[in-house]
Amino acid sequence: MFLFIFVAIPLIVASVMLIIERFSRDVLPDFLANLCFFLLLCASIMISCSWPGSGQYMHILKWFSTNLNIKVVLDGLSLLMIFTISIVSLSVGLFSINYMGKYGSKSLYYAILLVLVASMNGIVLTADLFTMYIFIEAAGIASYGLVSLGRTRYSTEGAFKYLVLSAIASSFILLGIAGVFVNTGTTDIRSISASGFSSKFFIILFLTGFSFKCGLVPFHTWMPDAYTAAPAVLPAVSSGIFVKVAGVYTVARIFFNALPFSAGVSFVMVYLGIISIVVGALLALGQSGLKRLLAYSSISQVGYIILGIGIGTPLGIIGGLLHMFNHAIFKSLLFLNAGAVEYTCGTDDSLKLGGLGKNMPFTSTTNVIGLLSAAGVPPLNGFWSKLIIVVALFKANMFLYGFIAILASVLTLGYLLLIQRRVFFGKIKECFENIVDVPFWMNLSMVGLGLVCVWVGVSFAPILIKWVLPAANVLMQGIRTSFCALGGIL
Amino acid sequence: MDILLLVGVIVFVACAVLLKDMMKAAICLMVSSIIMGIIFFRLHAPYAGVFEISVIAGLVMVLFIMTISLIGGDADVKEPPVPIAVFIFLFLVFSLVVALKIPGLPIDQSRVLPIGSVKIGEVLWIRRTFDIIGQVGVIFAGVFVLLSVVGARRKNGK
Repeated sequence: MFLFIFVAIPLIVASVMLIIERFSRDVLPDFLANLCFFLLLCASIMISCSWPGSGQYMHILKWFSTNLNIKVVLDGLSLLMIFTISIVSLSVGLFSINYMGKYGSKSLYYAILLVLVASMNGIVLTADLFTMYIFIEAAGIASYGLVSLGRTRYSTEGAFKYLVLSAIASSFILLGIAGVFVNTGTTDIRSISASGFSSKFFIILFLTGFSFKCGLVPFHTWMPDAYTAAPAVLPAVSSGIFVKVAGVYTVARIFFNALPFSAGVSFVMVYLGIISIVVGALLALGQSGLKRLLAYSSISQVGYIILGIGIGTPLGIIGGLLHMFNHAIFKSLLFLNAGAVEYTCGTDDSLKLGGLGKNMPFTSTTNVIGLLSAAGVPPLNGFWSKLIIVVALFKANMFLYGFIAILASVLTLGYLLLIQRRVFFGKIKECFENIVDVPFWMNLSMVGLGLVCVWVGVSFAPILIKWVLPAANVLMQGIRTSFCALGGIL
Repeated sequence: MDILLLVGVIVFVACAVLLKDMMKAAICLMVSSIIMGIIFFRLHAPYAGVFEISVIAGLVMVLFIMTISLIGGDADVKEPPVPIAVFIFLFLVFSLVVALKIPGLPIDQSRVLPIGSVKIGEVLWIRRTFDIIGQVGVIFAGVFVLLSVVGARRKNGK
């Protein structure tokens, strides 16, 4: 029952949100939604504390003595994802207390956000491909709703583009699942793995579908439009966790734990990763809009994650998973910073802004932390994960890719520092002279994420041991199984 | 028979995309979903058929039709002839591809569920219960998004 609360509680709270709105338009929805996120974070920390480091928890839900046949499975990888989802959703929830006031009904917004969180938790807690697909769809619809909350012509356009491309991606994934079911007679991940089934055609379908969800080049076009048009909380949730859960996590789960991880899959993942790193960073260079720039930056950073996991070595997987966690934190922080600037100044166009650092010290400081972390500057969290990925590339004799990864990181530092200088440094523009920093809850949320960046960077070993290594072990177990199944030809 | 039903699905889905009148498009989509549900039943996948007809053809269509009525999208619309011609051309090309390629795709017959091996209720409530929670999530998300969009339009006075 305990594991099921990650899906059930957000759904139940979402269902009562509309009733609550009749009694209180702001305070009660804010309180209930954030209480829910806080409880889920506490639950994920409690599970982490009692986690033995290997194996898995499996719960089959019962109602009194009746078996409900709801099988919830948690292993090291799911635990890392649940923890990441919980941190980011609480931060976004706190930020929304002040930020979402101008975007219509808060109850409806929280209801959509809660469904999104419940669906993401469902994706990581199921051991069945079809159930995973249903939760991906639910999360996709909720994300579409959050994009359309922008309520401008551009947000409708962004939402529509996102919906159409997401539907195409889902079709590929569903076709892949159908193919696996036809050939193995099951959608249970463990049973698929035991059957030893592998097919290039279905692997291509999965890779294409999930590349859309990850926003990897050349399937990235939905991301900048959707993120630019939506309220900043959507890209913070989407880039921070949804892309990782619906894209990276599912790719890892399918190619490491369900289907055999082959050299071909590794090759494609490494190439998609490296192309996304370079193209994302180059496209980000020419952007002046904060959210659009961060969207391109996300494409580049997700490239690092896929590259790390795609190498397939223990070090690469550890680097990829650690970067997945780090990116969730620092990219959510950067998007929330962009939202804070937009909230205060009415625009996120860096060319119209300047000198905000003096009047917005919290936003400016946390933005520096976020950007340095994104660029991989020591001792912040992004440094360690990028370092591990680069070392893994060198150890796998992929020297060229290693150098490209380092150069792209320098490029990331370049464009993010340029934005910092344009927006926060220099002389303040006359029209912004009287602005003040954002309200308390928005500051608290940004400072919290900034502190996590510093904490993980300064003492990254506990995070590595407690959350990342058990997750990497789950994927390595899959590789060992594939290796045995293929008779040592990998 | 199955090929005929598949053709029917494609025709109605294409009509749903090409028709300018949103109400007609929604009805075409509903018909295609019903045919799809029939195909699922014929292929011995009753639970997929139940979901297709109840959720997609039923609930989702109610949401669509409600939205169209609310935003006044059910006014008379003149259909342009060019998209229909494009559709007919695409349909013929697709039919040709289906006729040439589909029979060649390998399906292991031993994996197909035997007729009458499972009951719908057993599949829904015993084997795939977690899917229902996911479906609840899908329905919640759909309803909340719809209410949000409709609320925004009302506020804008459209």
